[in-house]
Amino acid sequence: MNVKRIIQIALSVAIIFTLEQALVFLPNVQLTTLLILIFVSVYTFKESVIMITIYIILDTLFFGGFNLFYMVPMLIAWNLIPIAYHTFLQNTNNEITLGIFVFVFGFVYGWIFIPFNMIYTGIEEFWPYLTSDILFEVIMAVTNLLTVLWLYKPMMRIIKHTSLLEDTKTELSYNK
Amino acid sequence: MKKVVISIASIILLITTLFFFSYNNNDSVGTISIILVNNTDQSEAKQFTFKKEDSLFDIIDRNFSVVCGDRFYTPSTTCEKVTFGSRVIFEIDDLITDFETSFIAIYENDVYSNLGIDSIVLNDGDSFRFEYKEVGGS
Repeated sequence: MNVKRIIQIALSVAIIFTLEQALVFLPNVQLTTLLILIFVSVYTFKESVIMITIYIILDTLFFGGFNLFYMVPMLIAWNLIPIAYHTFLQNTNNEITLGIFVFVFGFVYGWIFIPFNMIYTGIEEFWPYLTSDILFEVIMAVTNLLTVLWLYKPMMRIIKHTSLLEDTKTELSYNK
Repeated sequence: MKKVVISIASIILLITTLFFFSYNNNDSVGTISIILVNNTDQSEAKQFTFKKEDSLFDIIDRNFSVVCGDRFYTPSTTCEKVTFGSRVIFEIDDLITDFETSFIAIYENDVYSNLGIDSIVLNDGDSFRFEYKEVGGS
């Protein structure tokens, strides 16, 4: 990884974090999933994992100091995007396929926190956690779906005209 | 066309879910009692009803005068969440601490709570005692 790429990853984290903070007053309405998906489409798997790890360190540091009950599930959840993109999604650029994936991801993201919250609060009943979070999961899932459906391709077209793709080995075509 | 149909369907799902939760979350689900113990005396137990979505902080905030710590642990009446969705309480009515030499300990049904005010789950019939404690004291 060259210096240019390291700087690009740092700037990607800055963009993700800034937009997350800009929308923090709306619960679970965010562009984080869209942005991570876009950067994952551009970066290699290793670069994506590095970017996500830095973002999570920054996020957990900002919100109160490396709480493992938030940090670990966030690491697991957000890294599902590069894992899925480079495996069963097969580097697809089809916005409907990606839209369905991020819709499901909205629910999975919430479910991953459940076992950690059970340990944290000491309350071992599963259903209250599942039901109390459904509204926020639906908000996240729908936000993810709409943003990816309508913004993924236009943003990838913009990225195509920047230097971000110069170091990317994969040939990407977004004008189809 | 597919995109439009999927978008409309997802917005309908969101609106339906919002309506469902707003209609099902209005009922009171129980009563809790709260006692304040400062360094000189103890208040009488007061009863408060709570709804499903209420946290212990919501009950306190609605019924008492509350001062919290901000991000820099200085007193603030805005009571923003400072660490992972949790607040730090400095004062509740006459129960006043500085969070340096003293703090507010929470007892749930006479058992010291290891959870913060935003993480405690309310159950019908619970009693909560907010007690002045000196740092390092018993």
